[in-house]
Amino acid sequence: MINVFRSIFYSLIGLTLIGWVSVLLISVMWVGPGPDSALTQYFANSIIVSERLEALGFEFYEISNNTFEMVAHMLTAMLSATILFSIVWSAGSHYLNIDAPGKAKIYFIHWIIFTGIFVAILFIISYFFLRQASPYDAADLMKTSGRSILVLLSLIYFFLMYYLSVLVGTARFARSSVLFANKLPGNL
Amino acid sequence: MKKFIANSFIILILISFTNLQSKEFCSPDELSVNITETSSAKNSNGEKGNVFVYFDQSLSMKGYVNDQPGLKNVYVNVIDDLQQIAENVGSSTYYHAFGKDIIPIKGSKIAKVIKPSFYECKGAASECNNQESKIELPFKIAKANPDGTYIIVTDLFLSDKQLVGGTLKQLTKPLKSILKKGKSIGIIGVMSSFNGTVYDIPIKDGGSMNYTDAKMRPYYIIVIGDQKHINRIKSNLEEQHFTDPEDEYKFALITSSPILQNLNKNQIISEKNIPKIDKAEGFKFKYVDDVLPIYQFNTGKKFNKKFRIKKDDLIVKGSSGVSEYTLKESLWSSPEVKCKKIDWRKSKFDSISTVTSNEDGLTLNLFKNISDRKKLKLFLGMRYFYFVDVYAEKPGTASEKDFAEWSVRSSDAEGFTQSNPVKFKTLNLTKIIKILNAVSNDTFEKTLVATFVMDFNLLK
Repeated sequence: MINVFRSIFYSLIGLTLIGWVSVLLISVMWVGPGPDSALTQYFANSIIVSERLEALGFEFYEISNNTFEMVAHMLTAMLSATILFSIVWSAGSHYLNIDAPGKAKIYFIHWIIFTGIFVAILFIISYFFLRQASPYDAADLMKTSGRSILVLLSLIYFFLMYYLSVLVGTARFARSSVLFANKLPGNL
Repeated sequence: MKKFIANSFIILILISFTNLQSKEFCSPDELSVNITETSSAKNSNGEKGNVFVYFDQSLSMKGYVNDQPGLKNVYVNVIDDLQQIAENVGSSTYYHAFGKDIIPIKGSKIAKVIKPSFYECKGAASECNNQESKIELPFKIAKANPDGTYIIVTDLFLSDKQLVGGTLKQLTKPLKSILKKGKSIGIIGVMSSFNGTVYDIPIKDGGSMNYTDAKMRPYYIIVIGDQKHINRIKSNLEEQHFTDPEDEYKFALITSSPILQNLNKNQIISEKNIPKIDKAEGFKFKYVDDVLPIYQFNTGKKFNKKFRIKKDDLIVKGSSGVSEYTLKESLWSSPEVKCKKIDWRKSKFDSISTVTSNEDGLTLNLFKNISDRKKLKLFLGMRYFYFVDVYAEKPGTASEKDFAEWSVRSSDAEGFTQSNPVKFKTLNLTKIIKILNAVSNDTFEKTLVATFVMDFNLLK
């Protein structure tokens, strides 16, 4: 059991390596970045249909709260999913039936499927928040390319966070089931 | 149980508060409403003036008074009653004959007009009043005294030379002046039996020919005066003479103000102008300050509504109508929907809806321009305040089409005559109507016909 907790601890460390960025981003979005901040400018230039908004007489920063609130909710949901999947795999790896040398490699398929489900859930979360018929009106302000950027960046980022987490959190005897995890030093 | 009742009560209060908020009206500060009277309304003062009746004494008119066996003589019947119709409209009636000059006719001798002798002349042709038809003479008099009502009875058989250069100016100048003073010109064309000679039909080689085999031919009663007098004369004639289904008559009203009324002034605009709008969520319709109609509702992105105005509500009956309408639009939006926090911003959209007109009236395709143009978009979750003025921009040409079947061009007149027609057409009639329409175009002023507001929340 102690090994399970150790795995969870390592997994959390793996998450923290880049996860702090998402926590910081979510916090900033909740508070609301300033009108001249780089985040607001980036959203105005790349994510939002600013010219159409300007045609209505508004600048993006004036109505950015709803957009940032929506993205913060989306990131929170993705972060939660990432934490959940990382911990579940890391803890669950201890219960894999690996009773012979080389058997861990068979569980690579399981890991791929598990990871695929995780990525699909990330995608569903982003679709739920950013689609046209999103429960958030702010989604209507986004241009198609802006939506794609947000989906792509968040998928890459949270996948990386998850990968780092399972890389260091997977049970030592099951490392062969995770891509490149067997390259880690044996004493880790 | 008590807790349940208390919770229900709180929920009910919250719901009623939300409804109050959604029905609240708050307009942008810069909104200005300017409802003006239409000129047609301004010019009718209800007073009875004098009526001046002019009979065309040219020889071509003689055929109208001779009966044609088996055919109805509408000319004689109408002239018989014209005295009574004129007296309905004015306080005193004065009769004249026109040809080369204008000659007054005493009231007691008016019956002569329906006798062939009225159109005959025994003296030298140069001295006779029946050799030409100077229709511009009564127009000139109407210009000098625009308060009266003028009734001109003529075959409107105008040669090319009467419709060009200086002679045309003599015709159009007084008409322009008459229309500018808010008066209108009604043309009632009546197909009547004809038994006589049509003179001065132009032929291709120059010169002219006569035609004697026509059994029917239209004549025209031109009425110059207030629209209501014109309409009264027309309806009197309809009631008394054009009762049989086979009676053929046409009517055109040439006016500088074909707009019947400003729809706001008489609160003609209602929820029915936008079909099915009353089924929209949170719909409410009301007039603000008794003149500005407001549609309040919630809608989704698939907003496909049309604002329709019936022709009868807008256009003076029988007039050439309006061929072009324009819109002056403004759109404000606010991310906050409640009046307390509302922050109206005026959009940069210069063209939001489109307007089309047909025989039934005019139709505004609301927000059509925005949905058709990819760069323009309305966003969900915002409140919108759309203000639109509908203007009549150009007068129509409906009367030209109506009268076209009774018209023959100078170049076609010879061929038409050689086809031995029983029903003879009027020379250059379309041209004359076109000229009259052109004169009314010159005097037409852009008129505000309707103003309304749509105050809505765009929801999913």
